[in-house]
Amino acid sequence: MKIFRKDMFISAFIIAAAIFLIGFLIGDQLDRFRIDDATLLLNKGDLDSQSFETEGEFFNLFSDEKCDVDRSRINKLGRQLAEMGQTLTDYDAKKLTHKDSYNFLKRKYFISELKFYNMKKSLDDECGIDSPVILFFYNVEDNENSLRQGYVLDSLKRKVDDLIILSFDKDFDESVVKTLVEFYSIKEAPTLIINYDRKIDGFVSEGELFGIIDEENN
Amino acid sequence: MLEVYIWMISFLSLYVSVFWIIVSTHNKNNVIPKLDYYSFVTIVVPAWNEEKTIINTLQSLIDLNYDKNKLEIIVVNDGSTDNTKQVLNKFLKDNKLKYIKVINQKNTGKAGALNTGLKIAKGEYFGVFDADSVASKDALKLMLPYFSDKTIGAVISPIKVADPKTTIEKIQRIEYIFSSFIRKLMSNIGTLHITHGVLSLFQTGVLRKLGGFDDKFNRNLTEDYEMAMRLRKNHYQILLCEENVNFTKVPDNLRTLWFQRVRWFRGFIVNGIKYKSMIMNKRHGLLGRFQIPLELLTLIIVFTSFGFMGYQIFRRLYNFAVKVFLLKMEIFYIDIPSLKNFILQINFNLFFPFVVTLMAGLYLYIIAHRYVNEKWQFHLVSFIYLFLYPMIRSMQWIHALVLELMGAKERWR
Repeated sequence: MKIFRKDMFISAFIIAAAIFLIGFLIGDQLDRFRIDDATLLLNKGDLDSQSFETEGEFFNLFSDEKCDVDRSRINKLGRQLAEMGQTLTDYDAKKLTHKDSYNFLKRKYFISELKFYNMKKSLDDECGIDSPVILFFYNVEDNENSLRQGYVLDSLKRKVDDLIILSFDKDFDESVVKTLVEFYSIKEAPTLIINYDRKIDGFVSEGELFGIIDEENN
Repeated sequence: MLEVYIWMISFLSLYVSVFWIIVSTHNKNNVIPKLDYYSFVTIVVPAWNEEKTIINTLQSLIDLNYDKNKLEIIVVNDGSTDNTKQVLNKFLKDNKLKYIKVINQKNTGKAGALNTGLKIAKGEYFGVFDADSVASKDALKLMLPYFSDKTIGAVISPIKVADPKTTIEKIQRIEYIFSSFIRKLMSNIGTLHITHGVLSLFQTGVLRKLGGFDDKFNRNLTEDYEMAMRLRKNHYQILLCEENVNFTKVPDNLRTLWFQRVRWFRGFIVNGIKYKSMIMNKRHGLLGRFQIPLELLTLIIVFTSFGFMGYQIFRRLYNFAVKVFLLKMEIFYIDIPSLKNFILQINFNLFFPFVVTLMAGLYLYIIAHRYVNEKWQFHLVSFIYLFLYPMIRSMQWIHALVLELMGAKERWR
């Protein structure tokens, strides 16, 4: 009467494992596409940044007006960086494999951010550009406050057009990040550095932040 | 951590689904047995407050295509507080059928009522038939030949829901189709360990040898499941007669369904503890080493999934509330991504196991419908059954577990 055979268990395992292997391979391929996409974005950002820098050097050498560079481009570069950061964070959260590749890209991204930060500071000092800039130090390890602060900054970004936000994973193992953390004595997440020197520890509401930015830029 | 858990659960679900699909593709290819001898059969109908359904039930037994000289029907009115007694008396008076007996007794619970019937049963075979069910005309003729040897302790049939009207009944219609299908597969591999009240046939001698239905330890929760486990523990087989289908009324609202299921699940827990020695016991073959552990594993998955799911739902609701109430964010701000971004944004770690489990479930859903000759359709009720009903079942399980831990008392209905 019974139709059971032991090979049914083995067949079921082989089929299930094969389906999962296919799933794993598709996931792996999707990861590769994501890494390629993020690499392309980072390279494009680097190139745009280099182009901006080179133009600045050109004006430095050949023109009396050092600040003749197109100022709107600094905002554009800032927006590009923010988009890159968002894409990278999204992709990183969805990764199946390739942890090292993602870490490499994140390193590259944080370096680009600091490079941009330096460039912005130099322009602000020399040319008096006064668009606000915020350094946002967050923690990825299930920190609800960092998440909420992220929402606040997203919301603020939509309301303050020229606001530039540069995000750093406070615990990321990269000397650039460590330097910043040490320089600004970052102890907790979230921490915000507004316009280079105003430090705010802990979560800040949107209204409060709006007031601070307004006060800083007037 | 969550993703690893989801992948593990998904792999297990897929593995089990594929196993059942493989079993379903191996037909027994045996000739349908035919009845060559009319054995004496006693059918006991335990009744408690069944004034509305008892006549319909009795009529379906009277209409059985079986030699009435070889049939005995015993209705045990188990202390009904409605008009069941009067309805039965009138029916007997009007019909004057010698093979139907009615016993009125104080309320003892379903197991007690069945034992009353068992004590006086003359039949070689003993049928248990709930007072809200309807048997098909050829039920006995189709089921009895399955008692092909002395090791067959019981034979059951697939059950369909009679005349489903409400959404709750329609959900259960799918559930019964699904469980009938899985029971068929369990019967095919010799792991069936369920008897139910919609005409289960037993060898009367075996029931008496095993001491009748448990009306003490089991506290009247699920005496049918307990008997099935006792049969299996004593190495009797239970088979499913797939050629016959009986019908039953099911709860038509969530509240009644909820308490019925909590009672069933409590019965599962109580009997699981009572028969724990069968778990991983090689003396019980595939039942002990595969089926029961699988059911326990399913339970663990149900509980942990509920925990994880609860946490995730709470977290998302909290974040949503933060966005809306604290930050007053534009919650309907949506960036429409390009196709490339849409694909790259898919969280494959969650998407793949979800899709795989869903596909396996859908395939089983379709072949289960084919098995009971029902048309399968995908509509709102199917959606509720596949996506929301498991959550309701999880909560019922938790409710049952809590009641068991608290030692709450329960009646059979």
